[in-house]
Amino acid sequence: MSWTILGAFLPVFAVISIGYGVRASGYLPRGLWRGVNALNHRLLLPAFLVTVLAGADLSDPAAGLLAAISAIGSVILLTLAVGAAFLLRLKTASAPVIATAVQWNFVLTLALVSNLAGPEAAPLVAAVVAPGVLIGAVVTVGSFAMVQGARPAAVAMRILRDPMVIAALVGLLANATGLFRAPFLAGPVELVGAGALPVILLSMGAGLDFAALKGRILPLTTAAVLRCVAGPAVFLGLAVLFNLSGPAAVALAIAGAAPSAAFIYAVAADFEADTGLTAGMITLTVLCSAAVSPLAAFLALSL
Amino acid sequence: MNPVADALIPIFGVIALGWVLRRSRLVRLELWPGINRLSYQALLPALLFSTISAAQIEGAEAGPFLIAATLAFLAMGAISFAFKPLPVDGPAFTSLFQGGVRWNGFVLLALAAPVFGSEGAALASLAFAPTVPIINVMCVVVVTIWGASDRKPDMARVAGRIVTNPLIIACLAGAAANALGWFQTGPVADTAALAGRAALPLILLAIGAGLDFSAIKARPALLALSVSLKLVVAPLVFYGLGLLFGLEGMALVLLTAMGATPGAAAAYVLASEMGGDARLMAGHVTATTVLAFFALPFWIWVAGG
Repeated sequence: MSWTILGAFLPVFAVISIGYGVRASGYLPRGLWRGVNALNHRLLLPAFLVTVLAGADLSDPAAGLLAAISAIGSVILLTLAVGAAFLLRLKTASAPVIATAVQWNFVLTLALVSNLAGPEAAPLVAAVVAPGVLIGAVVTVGSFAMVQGARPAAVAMRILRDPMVIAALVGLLANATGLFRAPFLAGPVELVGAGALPVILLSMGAGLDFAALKGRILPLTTAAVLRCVAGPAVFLGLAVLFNLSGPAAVALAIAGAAPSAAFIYAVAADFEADTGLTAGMITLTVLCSAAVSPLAAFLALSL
Repeated sequence: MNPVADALIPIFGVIALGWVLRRSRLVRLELWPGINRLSYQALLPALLFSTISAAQIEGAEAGPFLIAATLAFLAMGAISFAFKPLPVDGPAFTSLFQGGVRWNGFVLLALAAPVFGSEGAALASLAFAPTVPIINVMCVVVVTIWGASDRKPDMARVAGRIVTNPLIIACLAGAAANALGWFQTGPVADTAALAGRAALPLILLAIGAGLDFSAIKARPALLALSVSLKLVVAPLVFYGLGLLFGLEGMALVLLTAMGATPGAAAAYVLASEMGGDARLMAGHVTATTVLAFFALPFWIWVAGG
């Protein structure tokens, strides 16, 4: 594997490890991360997403094709996850399994693709991120709400109130209307968004919970296989099918092999669902992704 | 728009956002200590190390700049102490003293890179190393003697905290790496740069979350005096000492801007813990933070000629 791939992955996973280290060592104990996580879910992640989507040039036909492929990939993964949850009779564990499979970590994807393919790949990554995050957030909130037995209207309301769904819609609206060209609006959001990436990576590390990996083998393994085996296979397969190469293929491959988004833990907590199992799934997918995503990047660069 | 306004709008926008987050309870008051701890103890040291280690600093310019900055803080300590004969209680005097001496370097750090470039950011970062211990020692001594608390500080513990302060360690490590040419590129440099990127946005949000507008009404005359010391007298002192030490151009403007930064939240923490006038301190930090939006560009314009 080339030094380029190693150089792209090392700082990102080093920051995740530092997050784990400062939490596990007690330098910043678990209780103090509640504020950081709340800030992440309610401000930093949405601001980051708005910045990415508002500033991307999505008018390029290549970006449109990539967005469509990303959406197809998310729908395939959703179908696989729902099928697996049904066949394996996962019951209440279905929600975190489906969320883990479909809601890939867009922050990590952006960081890795930017390191690998340079800033010129930004519009392509934004094209992959926009439908991926929107579908993922809707599926995540929807699956937890439905497992709880919420009515369709209540499910729809929960989806529309989710910060990530709102951010994705605001970002796309800002992109279409040029809303964020006013410096007094764009400046603060960009400054906050620029700082979001490392905090989110540190929080990912701090949220790793190896104790949560004990027991519940079936849902944990299902989630990990869907995210780290089916995910890259589907997205790389689509890249081959549509004859993509270069940064576009890399963006798809990394999105497919990324771990699940850490904010599904916040959603699980909001719904008072099984947060321990959700933490275990996130932890397992981070570990699997650390091994699988460099390989996926290598294969994409070979296309 | 000019570069100063371009840089100040996002800075104060993020501060305002922090205030809104806390007031709206989107991020409740009790959740901010964790954000503060992560920012000051982990992210900011990474930023200081990254900025200083990679900077192209001219030793001939950095020396006089750091000496002038250190002397300026000592001079502000002497000027603030000269108000001791005022007919006010001890705790109020300690808060007046802290108001004149403490500076919020993070606002300057956020301003330095976009306005003064990488060399300005490195000089602003380096200034933490000599000034943090001096300011802390001055303030702890004054609050210990004239504060209302019976709890006397363990001076060995205070000294230990200064020596092990992550900001000072990061500054010294960054300066050593710069001098030796270590960690200019590679995984350590990349990791520190990545982690450091989050420091300023989080600190600015935390500054906003700490603003307390109700505290401005407490002791208005004393508050006016402490604000004047911070935003009128201090920039003049820093500017004058800069001229005296032969600074010019970017270094002189940066030094003057250092004098015009708002008060630091650390002053409120010390006043609360050791018997200062915490309410006056909260009002001072809030008022100077808001007024610095106007004071900083004014003094940068004055020093820039």
